[in-house]
Amino acid sequence: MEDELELVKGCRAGDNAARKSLYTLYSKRLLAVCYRYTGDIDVAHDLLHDGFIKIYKSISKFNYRGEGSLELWMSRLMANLSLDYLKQRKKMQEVIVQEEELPDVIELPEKELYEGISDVQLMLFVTELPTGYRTVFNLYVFEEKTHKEIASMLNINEHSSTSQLHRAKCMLAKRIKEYIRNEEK
Amino acid sequence: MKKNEDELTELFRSRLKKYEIPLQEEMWDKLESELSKPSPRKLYSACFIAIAAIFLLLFACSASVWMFIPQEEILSALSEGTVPVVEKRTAMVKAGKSILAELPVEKCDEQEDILKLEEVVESNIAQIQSDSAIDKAQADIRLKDSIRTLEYQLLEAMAQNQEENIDVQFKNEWTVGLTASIEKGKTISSVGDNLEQITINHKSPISFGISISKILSDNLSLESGLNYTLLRSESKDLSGATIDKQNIHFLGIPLKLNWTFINKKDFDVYLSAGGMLEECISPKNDNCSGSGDEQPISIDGLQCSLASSIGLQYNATQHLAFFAEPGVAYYFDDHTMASTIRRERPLNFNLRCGVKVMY
Repeated sequence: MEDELELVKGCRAGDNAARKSLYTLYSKRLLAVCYRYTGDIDVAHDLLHDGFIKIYKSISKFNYRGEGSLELWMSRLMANLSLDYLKQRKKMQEVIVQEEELPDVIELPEKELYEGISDVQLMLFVTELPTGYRTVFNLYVFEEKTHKEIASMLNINEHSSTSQLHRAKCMLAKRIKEYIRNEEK
Repeated sequence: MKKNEDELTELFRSRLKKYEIPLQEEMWDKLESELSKPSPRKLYSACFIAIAAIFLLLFACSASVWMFIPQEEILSALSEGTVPVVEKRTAMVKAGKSILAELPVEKCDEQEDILKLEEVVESNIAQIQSDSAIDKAQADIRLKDSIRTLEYQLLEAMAQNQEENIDVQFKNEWTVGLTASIEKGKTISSVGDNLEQITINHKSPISFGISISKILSDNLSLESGLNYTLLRSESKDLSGATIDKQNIHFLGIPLKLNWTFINKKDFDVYLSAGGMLEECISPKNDNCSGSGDEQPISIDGLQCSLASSIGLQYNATQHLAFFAEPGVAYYFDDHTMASTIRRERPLNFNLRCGVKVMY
């Protein structure tokens, strides 16, 4: 906690060593945030770069509210930057053709089976989701936003947010089952 | 169902919340070099300030010439410079050619022409007086007719000469103007840095400028100048408390072509099309919730825009006009991270008004 505050103070003062420490501590995790939202690792690198410049320039705005608040602030800043990128490139307006009926009940295989799937693989499943589904899934699962908040943030209606989350989960469950089936062969 | 859904959410949340992707060392080097190098904005700013100074100087010179030197002097200076002597001579020769065909026109200016015309009148009089074959009454009539005709033609020649001078003198070639314009503002709902809901009120951008235009032909003119624009935005959270205020100042150089398609004595109607390059000269973000410090916003590139408008011009005098130009402008993406009205609504309506001095 002390260290975090010291880092913030150092960055505010423009101290290069403090900036580097902040970068070393959080850049890998923040890169994963950008990748999880955009689904494109090159874009995620660019956003990470821009995001850190923004962090250094606006760190005086940050109010320290205890342990973890710095990481949460930076992570949300990166998420917001990613959302801006997706909005600007109109990525969320991609039309998805849903050919098959979606089940009302999402069924996962036995826990022992999916526990073996690596984090890398799970991340890949998320990044391969259509942009709209992925965005709602990220905001709901990782930022813990309500459908009302998501609808307001993305300028969609609440029903659309609920529906996109359900579709995202169905796709993920399907991918998990397929993956396990392939592994068993 | 609920259980499985939660299970899936929990699986991804627990496994990916702290997920890390390894980075190459050179990423930090790139970031560090960008943080330490001087902004390219400084170079742009220097160029812009230089060009702006030139326009300002041109405007100041034009304005001072117009305001402090008496108009008669300007007009005579313009007429000397623009009316060739040969034209004046032609006017004289045309008028008098029926009886003055022998008049030598080489090397003559206006006064010499008139003197020579008078000499011819006198010699005609002498000739008529000395003609002994004609009786005195007829001689008087001929004499009077001859004098009247010559006087009339002399006056006509002088009047025509003056008209030609006036036509050339009042042909305006340059226009210098002062302008003010306003665009439509916009209020949007957005997401703050902390993923909180905010409302951003982008106030109507206002601009002031000086313009200099060169009249290329009866219908066409090329306009440039110097333009200052202020973009103001205010962010509020859901409770209505102001989070921050943003003021961005731009200095721009426009270039556009005006085509006049209605040209009456009192008013003109014209179409304008062109573009503008703008440099952000002072981006500031006044943080209201935190320390209250002013934060510089990262706007390093040049802002390019295209604009088109229809102009209505009221010519109050030969040299003074008022105009209003409703139009549209499109602002290209300058890849700035700051939320501005130009990013939120690239195509915007505007109204530009001003006053022009023509000479």
